[in-house]
Amino acid sequence: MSRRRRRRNGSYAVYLIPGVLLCVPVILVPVVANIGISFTRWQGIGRPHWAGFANYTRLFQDSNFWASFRHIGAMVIAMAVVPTLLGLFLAAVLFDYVAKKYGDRAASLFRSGLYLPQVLPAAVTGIVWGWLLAPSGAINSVLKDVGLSGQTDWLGNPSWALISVMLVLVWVQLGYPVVMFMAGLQRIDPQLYEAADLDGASWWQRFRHITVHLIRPEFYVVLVTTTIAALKVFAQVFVLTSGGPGNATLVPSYFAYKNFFDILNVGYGSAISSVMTVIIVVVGFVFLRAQTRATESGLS
Amino acid sequence: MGITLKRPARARSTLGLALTLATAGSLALAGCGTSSGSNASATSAAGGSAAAPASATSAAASSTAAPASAKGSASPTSSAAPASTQVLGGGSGKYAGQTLTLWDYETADSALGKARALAIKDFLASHPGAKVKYELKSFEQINSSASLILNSNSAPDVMEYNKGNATSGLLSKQGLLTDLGSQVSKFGWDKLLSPSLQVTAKYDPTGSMGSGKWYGIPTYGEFVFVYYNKDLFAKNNISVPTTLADFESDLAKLKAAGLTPIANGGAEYPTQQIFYELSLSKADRQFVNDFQLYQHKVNFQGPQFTFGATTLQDWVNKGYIAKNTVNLKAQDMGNAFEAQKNPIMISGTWWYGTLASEIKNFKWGTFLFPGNTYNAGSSGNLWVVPSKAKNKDLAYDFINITLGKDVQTLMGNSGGIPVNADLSQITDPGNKQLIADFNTLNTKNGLSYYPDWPAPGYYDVMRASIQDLMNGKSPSSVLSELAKPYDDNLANIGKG
Amino acid sequence: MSAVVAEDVATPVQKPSAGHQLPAARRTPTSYGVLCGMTVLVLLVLAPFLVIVMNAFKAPADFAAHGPLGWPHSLHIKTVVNFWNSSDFGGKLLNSFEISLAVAVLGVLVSVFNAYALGIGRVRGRTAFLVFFLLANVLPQEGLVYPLYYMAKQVGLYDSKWAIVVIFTVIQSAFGTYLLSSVYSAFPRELIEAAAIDGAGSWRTLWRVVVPVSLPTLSVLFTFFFIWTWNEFLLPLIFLVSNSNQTVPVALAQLQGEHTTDITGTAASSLLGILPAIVFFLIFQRTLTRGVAVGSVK
Repeated sequence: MSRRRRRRNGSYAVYLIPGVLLCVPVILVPVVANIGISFTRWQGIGRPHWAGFANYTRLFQDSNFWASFRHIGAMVIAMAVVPTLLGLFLAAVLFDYVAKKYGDRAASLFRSGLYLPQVLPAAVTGIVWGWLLAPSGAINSVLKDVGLSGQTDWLGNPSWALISVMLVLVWVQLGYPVVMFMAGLQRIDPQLYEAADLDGASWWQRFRHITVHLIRPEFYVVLVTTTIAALKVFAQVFVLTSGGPGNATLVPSYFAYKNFFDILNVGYGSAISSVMTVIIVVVGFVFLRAQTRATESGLS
Repeated sequence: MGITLKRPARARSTLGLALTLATAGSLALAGCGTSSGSNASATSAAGGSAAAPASATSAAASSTAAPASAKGSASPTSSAAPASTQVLGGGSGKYAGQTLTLWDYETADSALGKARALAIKDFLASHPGAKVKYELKSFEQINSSASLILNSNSAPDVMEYNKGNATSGLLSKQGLLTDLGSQVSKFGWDKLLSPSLQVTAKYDPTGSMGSGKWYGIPTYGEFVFVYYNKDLFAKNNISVPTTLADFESDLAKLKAAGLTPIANGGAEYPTQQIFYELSLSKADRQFVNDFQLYQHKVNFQGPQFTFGATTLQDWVNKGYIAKNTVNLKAQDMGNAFEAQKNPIMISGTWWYGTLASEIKNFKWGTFLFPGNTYNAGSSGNLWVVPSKAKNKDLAYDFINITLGKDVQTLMGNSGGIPVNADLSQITDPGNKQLIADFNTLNTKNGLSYYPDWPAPGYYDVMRASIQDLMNGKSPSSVLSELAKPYDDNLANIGKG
Repeated sequence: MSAVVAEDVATPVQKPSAGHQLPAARRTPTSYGVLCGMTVLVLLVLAPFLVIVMNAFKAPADFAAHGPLGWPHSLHIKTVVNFWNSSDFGGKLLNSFEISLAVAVLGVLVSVFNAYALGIGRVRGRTAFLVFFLLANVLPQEGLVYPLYYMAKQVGLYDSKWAIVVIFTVIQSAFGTYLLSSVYSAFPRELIEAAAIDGAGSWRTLWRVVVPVSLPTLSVLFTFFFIWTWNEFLLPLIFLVSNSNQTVPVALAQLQGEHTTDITGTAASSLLGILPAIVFFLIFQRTLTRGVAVGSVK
């Protein structure tokens, strides 16, 4: 048995060759190089100077960098948790309710609408939402029309800026889980739903016991990838607030970008991105373990 | 204000329009894709030349026309927007087979863009047979990857690049720029550029500006001053102030009349420059040299910055600057001034051309920041010649042409600040005023560079601190936030 | 339970979709409420796009006088036309299209191969491989730039579209590998074994069984890869130096000057820039639904 299996696995391993061949130069070498560079003082050109742990010592004392880490939690909520949960719910409503009552076309029309923000370049997202959230912008006008003060400076007031940024990030992200989950739902045999219907299950029961259960692969993939994206995010935040007011919306990845391309402190930038990589790998690993465990318990 | 989401019916019809457009666009795209697919491979097979043959020939035809007269009346950019990639010239002549590759980030309709276009024309006229391959780059591309490009074989022969330690200074230190010293004496460029303009052209071996070798050549100047809405000033009986005290009483009058006097954008450079202007009102040259050229240690809690921070916060508290501009961008500031929401805008000369072409419904003018001898400002961006440039001699000739009288005069007539124009040929009184103001400042040695220059990454530090100041943080703690990275940098470059 | 589930998850479906057969009579006030709620939500999500369209067709002076939220006073298409001509936008579209399409095709292919080995083949050390592939998704892109720059220069791919195609094929297929491996590990064993009994080798099984059944997921991947690559900014900005190689998002950056921004130009150009991606999505989203039918034919 084991011999047969090994032979079978061996034949499958061939399929990994293109992926590995591509990954080694594009990913593995840069990762290793990045770690190497993080121990040097280097401005991107010319010979790097060995600096030992200087960059890391500096990083661990950089209060701005660690302060920005507090905002990571907010980013995870805005880019991973809320879109995933809301997306799951919306996908189920579209697939198991709207499509049934009003046809597939209606459902996919809604899906396209929700997905469109994903298509917009970050720079444009920043400009448009800047207009909407401006002190005299559309949102305040609407609030005034319904009788509220409408005076809030959404992006300029330190207590609102982070929340406003989070709102925009939810807007950006929402379409991705919806599309993923709806694609996952296509795999489910409709007879399952019909059987549940005949058993008199409510929509909510079907949602909990069938939908959520069966698209677990997609659920984990979405959660992991959006969490990783949240840990790496800075473009959208940067175009909205440049990290301000003050440092109210600063995120760690921005430091890496700044050091790599603006200040040309490539050694320090590499130290930041190495630390970020380690953190993200750990988070990813925890998720993967949880996923494997959940899948195994689901199957056994 | 404005029409918002409260009219769903209309909103929906516009959405319908958008969808129709999307469909139309898709059809057009599909057509494009199939028809040009084969062409594309043909062009790239022919050597990947950027310009379509058609544009190259038409451009060549135009270049055979007589060079523009020194009057500079004929704008070289005629009707439609010119392409951001052009190959011009060619044919036979002494320079046949040689190509000058030129990059900048000045759009064709700006003063600098017009001057550049004329310079290309002049260059082709004086270099028969030569070609110019021009590419309009984005500021962002050059800003984020200049050193990578200049370290590769894709480096151009001559390129616009930002002045200052963090940009040109750094590239010179990395050995990516050509030392232009011998060309400076050969062409006599040092005689055209005043000492304060030369500061940003020279860098020492640590990459600090002010002394050392010539690594770049500026062709224009820039500074921060005050734009004002003449109509609103007249309506409120306000004349142009000449002292800071007058200015403050004018601001109070405008505020009392129900206006927010000063346009602002706190998320970018504008508020930083107001802070710097106010600080400079208490400064002397030594303070500027200490802060910018590290001649002596700077006391951030001293009278200059303390006055700047306190007064800025005071202006915000009094409503001269709206608090809710704290997260607005520079462009928002410009738009607010153009929309007559604020009668005053304190900013740089780079707005001049835009305002001149876009403001149609009110009169506006400019004045120097009242009472200041020292003002934010410097030479403009530099022409640099990468070390890896392939046609350096053509590059030097081109730089020299951009400093020529006709090119400089056209720049002055288009709202730029030339360094070598024929002033009798500058026709518009506003342009004349602009250049005169600059020359006043320049002869008094009043150019004081920009507040974010002294340390790498200082722009972000400035932005965050000034935003905190606007939101009510105490001036002294804001100033110590500003001091730390500055002092760290001094220690870093061994000048602390 | 689990065995049943595993079977149900990917059993080819007999009916094209769940939607059509249900009679409209089952529409109730609640269902109209849900429909209205959805409509409002989607319109809210789309509202910012309306603002973009409005400003794309506004004259700069109009924008200056009335701000971003006023209706255009006249339809001003000069901004769009000017931007198209001056930036050689047709060329940029073609570049973006070539790169995105190449990445989407190659990325899906590599993902399928990887996931086939990891999810169905269950080769040894599959978690390690998965982590290895996922690194591409994990690493902040900024960190890749300098090492990749020196490698690309070595092999003569700096300022070449191929560099971008290769890099993004790897980055996107990292995601694809992960998603597909998850999906394939729940793939019904019976189908694979049935194919094996029919004498099909792993190559034939891949193309005749695995790919058709997972077609919906593959079209999702294809669509995502295309759109994600279309919108990439940093690496194309740095690796595609020549204007003739540049992509759409990089061209948009030309309107952002050192001190000022061409706002109406940005709105116009971004509208031009996203239209192809939107159209692409609208076309391909139909296959997201249709894929099941194809899978069930087998």
